[in-house]
Amino acid sequence: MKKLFLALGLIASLGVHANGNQQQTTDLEKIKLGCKDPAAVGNQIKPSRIQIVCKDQRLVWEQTRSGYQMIDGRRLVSTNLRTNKTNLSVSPASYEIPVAQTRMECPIMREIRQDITFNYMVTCDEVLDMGSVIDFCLEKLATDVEQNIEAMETEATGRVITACNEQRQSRRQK
Amino acid sequence: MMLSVSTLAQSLPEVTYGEFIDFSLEDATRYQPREIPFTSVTEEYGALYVRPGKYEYTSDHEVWSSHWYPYHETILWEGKESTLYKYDAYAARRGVKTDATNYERKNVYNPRASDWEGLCNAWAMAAITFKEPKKGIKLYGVPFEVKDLKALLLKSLELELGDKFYGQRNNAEWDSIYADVYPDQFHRFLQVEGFEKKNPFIMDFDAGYQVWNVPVYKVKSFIKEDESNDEVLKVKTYVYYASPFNPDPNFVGLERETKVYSYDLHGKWEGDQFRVNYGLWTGSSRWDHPDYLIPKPNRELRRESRNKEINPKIVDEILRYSF
Repeated sequence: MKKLFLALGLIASLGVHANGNQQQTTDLEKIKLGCKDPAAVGNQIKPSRIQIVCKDQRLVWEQTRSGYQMIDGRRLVSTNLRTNKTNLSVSPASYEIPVAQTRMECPIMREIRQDITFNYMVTCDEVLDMGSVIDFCLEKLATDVEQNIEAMETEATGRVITACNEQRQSRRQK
Repeated sequence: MMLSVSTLAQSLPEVTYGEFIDFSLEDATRYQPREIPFTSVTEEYGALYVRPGKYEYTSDHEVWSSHWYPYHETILWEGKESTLYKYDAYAARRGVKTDATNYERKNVYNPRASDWEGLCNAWAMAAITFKEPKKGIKLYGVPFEVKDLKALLLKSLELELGDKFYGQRNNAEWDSIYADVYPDQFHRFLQVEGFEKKNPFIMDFDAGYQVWNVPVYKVKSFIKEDESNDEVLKVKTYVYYASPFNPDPNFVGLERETKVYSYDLHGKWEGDQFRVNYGLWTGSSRWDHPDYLIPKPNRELRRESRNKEINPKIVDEILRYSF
């Protein structure tokens, strides 16, 4: 009995990329034909042990900790000295006065790679009901991943984003 | 299956054919003859008690992927780049005469072997017990690639089948029980070998007659109460294993794959614990569930190949520098 394999990569990000989908559609139709009419593909019995592999890979951001930075404010006091009894030149002056810094919270995010690859053994009945392999995978992933997101394997990619202004922070540390 | 059908038919006065089929799909498992070896796990480890919650473990040992060397392939012995040609060349330079290449071609290679037959058992055993050969090496002028090193290790474990099988191996015979390994037995095995001992183990993930042994390194299990039945707990278990399906025989590392199984555990509460009497595979796990499980042997492994020209001592000598 020939073991039949369908492999599918799902990239779950903003869009779905489906490379090789034409070949996969053809393969699925071949299996469907074998399921409907084994003799048409030169067999006496229907295909069995049909496996579909659904791979779900995601890159997501999670907040690791919250940083902060102090933001400078500005305070300007202007003065002018005048009177109409003494002959004075008009002498305006401005003074920058120290002002309390404001503490700004800024999240620090790290990128996480989440992935899981499921291997599903499917029956001919399931194959015949299948619109496409991607439909099957999306339906399965909705059940097996979305309901148990902890099932995904995770690892940090090493990429970090901080909303704090590094330059200001370092100046503050001097 | 026949026994269960006749038993059930007696207890169902009037059923249509369709109802009968539905009934057999949903409930037949509990009426299967659950004798040894069908309860071999609980016979050995005791009854299964569970509580709702999340359970998981990851093995301390890093399992690894490998090509599984189907018996119908010529990769092991054909040409000067083949593993056994290199093995013979190395042995000759060490002053040992071997003819593993021809022995393999004449006595082990089988162009008519079923296309699922191969060294998955040896690979799975190697992956749960040995470190992965990660780097190729040139010894006595013979260049061994990663694929060669893995192949030699697998060949040296070809006859190591482990100490115990939990679950009946399905050979598509009259007495093969498809529902075995039963989910209550499966879960008890996970409790002991996984959650308690944190051991990797071998699982044949094909419940039918084909054998697809894989090394399992991680399990996550979610147990919930059944809102409509306080004598049932609903379980979803994710089993993570190394896959042999990487097209590059020199691949190093872990190609991860996961099986997800759903099952109901039937039993009664005893205080805050639920004592399981039996389990039923549910949903697609009725046809897609493990066939049997093999724990990591707690002894020195049997190092023997079907190829009698392969000497495990020479294999170990070659492997020594590759980990």
